[in-house]
Amino acid sequence: MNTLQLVINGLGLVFIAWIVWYFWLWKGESVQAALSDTGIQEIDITVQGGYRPAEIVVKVGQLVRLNFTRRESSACSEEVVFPDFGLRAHLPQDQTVTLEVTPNKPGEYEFVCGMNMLRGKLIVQEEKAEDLRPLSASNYALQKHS
Amino acid sequence: MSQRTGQSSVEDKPVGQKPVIPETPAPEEKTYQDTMRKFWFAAGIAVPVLLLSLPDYFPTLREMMMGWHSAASIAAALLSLPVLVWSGGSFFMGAWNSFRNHNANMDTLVALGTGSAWLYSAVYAVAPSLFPAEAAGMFFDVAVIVIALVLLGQALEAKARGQSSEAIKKLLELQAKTARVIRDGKELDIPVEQVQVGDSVLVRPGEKVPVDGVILTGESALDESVVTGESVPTDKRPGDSVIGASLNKTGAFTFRATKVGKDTALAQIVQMVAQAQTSKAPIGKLVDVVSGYFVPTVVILAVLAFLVWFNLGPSLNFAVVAMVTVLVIACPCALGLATPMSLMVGVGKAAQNGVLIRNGEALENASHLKVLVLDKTGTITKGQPALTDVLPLADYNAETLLTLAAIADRRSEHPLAQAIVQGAADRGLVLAEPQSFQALPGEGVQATVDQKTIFVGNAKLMTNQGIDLTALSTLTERLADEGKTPMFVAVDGKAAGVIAVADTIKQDSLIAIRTLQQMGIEVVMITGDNQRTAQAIAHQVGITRVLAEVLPADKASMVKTLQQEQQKTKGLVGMVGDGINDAPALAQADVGFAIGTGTDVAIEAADVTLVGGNLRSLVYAIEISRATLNNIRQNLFGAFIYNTLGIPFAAGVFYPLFGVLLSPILAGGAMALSSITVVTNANRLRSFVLPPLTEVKP
Repeated sequence: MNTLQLVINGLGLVFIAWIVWYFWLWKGESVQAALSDTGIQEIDITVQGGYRPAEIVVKVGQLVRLNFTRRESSACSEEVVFPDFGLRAHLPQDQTVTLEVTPNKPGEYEFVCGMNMLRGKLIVQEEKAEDLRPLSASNYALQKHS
Repeated sequence: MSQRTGQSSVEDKPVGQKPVIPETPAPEEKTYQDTMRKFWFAAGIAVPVLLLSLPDYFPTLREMMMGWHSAASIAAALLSLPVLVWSGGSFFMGAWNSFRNHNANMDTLVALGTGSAWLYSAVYAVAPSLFPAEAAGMFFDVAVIVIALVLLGQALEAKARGQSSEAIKKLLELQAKTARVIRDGKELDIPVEQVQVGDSVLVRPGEKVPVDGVILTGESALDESVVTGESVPTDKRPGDSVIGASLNKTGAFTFRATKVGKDTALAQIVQMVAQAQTSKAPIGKLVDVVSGYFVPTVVILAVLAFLVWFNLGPSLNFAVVAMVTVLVIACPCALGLATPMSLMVGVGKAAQNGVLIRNGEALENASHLKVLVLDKTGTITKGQPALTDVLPLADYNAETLLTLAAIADRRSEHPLAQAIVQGAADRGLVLAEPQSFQALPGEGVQATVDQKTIFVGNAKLMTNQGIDLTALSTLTERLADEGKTPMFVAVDGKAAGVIAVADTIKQDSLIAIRTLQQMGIEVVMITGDNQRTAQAIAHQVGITRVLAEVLPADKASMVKTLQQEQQKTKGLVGMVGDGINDAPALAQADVGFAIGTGTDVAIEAADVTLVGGNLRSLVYAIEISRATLNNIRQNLFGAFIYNTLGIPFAAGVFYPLFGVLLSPILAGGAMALSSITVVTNANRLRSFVLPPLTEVKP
């Protein structure tokens, strides 16, 4: 094996290790949704090759307003689906689409693109007992065009 | 501009009476047209680029061109660049955006494949001396043609996806646009959104009923197939309920609006179908796991293919071809689309036929059912019992016995009691009020009539009251053997006679039960009725296993027992019921089927609602579930096999055996074709029809 081969092979193996780290081992940060005076938890999510932020921490039993804005033309991200809440929304480019859910159980609820490639997570955490409000299982989609 | 497209309990914004339209389907047509424009541009450029690349395929031609070859290469590089930038721009942007988010998707593969092919060729075109002699050859044509093919695939896929979500569009199109309401004695044509609960609405023959309501005046026949899937018109008269979007066939009538906007049966159905279409089926779980790792794995395999052939292969070109081919043949879309596409079409198709499937899990479970428990009253029978026999003992005549029983039963809401009261009314008997009344759940009633203590109810009631039924035993057995429900009447502690009530078996029950049995499902009947009557009805419809004299509260535990019996074979148990009484059993069952009656369909807590209210739709529900699951299996199998065979083939694994390496152009074509195949296969479900049920004679 000559030097060129050694270099190419070495680079190839380093590249593979880097792929494993970059796509699988890297952990993004979770972001807490902002809580308004009216008790609504709200967060803006940019859709561009993924969801930013991709992990959103919210409190159980309170309305969560998720404002999705898709900043790309790629067809991959044109839909967002919340399988646990039975919600599917089309995300027109450069428009904000708001989805509202009221998670009534703590846990992790995934949201994905229409083909299951892009993933985000709604992390629903328990509130302190004295903060709990009556629970609602309802959810709805609200669409606005900016 | 703001548009609400769902429902909420949080009244933070004013809500109009607009019919709910859950998420309008994606504008696939626009996607199709945009993508086709980019495709035609790429396809147009592909022709000259291919011509300029011919010398790469024919070394003789290259030698003949001599110095011109280099110029042709640079021309091909310049020509193909706009294709990468404009036609394929979205792949590169998408790949870059994904990369920034530590994600990788189909864009990543296309961008890496075509980008590396173009870059390698461009460097070679500008500085061929950098490469060893055997590396001669360029891939501008590969980059352009792969982009064109993938775009074509995306366009066709968008078109087919538009068809997949057609069911909801069709349901929504069925709504009436306007309504003719009567306000202050005047007829006003108003948009359907403005109809309010309590409005009197006039509907003429040939018009659609705008919202749900109850008929005030007039009679007609209504085609309710939009909601029930049943195309035979139903006769309606004052007091009957009507469903919005059904078609008025014959007479004119007025009705009082009871449900409008998002509360109408149709709006609820559309909402439910839309939710079911977004749900996941357990069969797709593996794909969810695989798709998270898929694209980076393919990139790793492409790098490995390059390294292996770089070290062992015939040329550098060979290694580049193997790498590019692996990148462009892999199709995460086919995997990702396999389950949701079939689910969307299957659930939509079922809804068009009056079968509302709550989610993917319900659909999957319905296809695995081994045992089906059918509630007798209202499911196998019509649930409208009628008085058939009045058999008094010596001290009474039929008229007196029936009068006493009917007065005692007057205040009871039980269907059997109502049948006795109705029977007495039909015979012209005058019924006084009882002096006292008490309902005894699961047994019957106790009342005081003319200072006499009357008991009307089943054998259990009589036994508990210490009333001797010996004199009635032969009569009772005969009635029960005829499938009738005997109701004993006792006056002041002594048996006075027996009154029989019978329900009518639904027209489709026998044929549907026979079909279910032929499908390999054991059909079990459950009822609160006595053993003999239950056996008689079961015999008439061909059921051998009967769970009789089961109190409503015990139905769920019976279902649980059956589930335990099935544990060894992992068979699932379904329950079919029609009322609130059945709710715990429906919830206990692996799949709960509610026999709905139109307007209350959406409030049912069952996994599957059979809006049409007959057992034929139960067969349909199970058949469409099986067909959908088969379709998902075919899609998943196809997508897995495609990728697991295609990727090694592209990587050159078979080269040592057969001496062939797949062309990246063919790989791109195969990739485009694989996702179209998945969507097209899912769309086959749109033409699903229930095979005709085998006619059987009772």
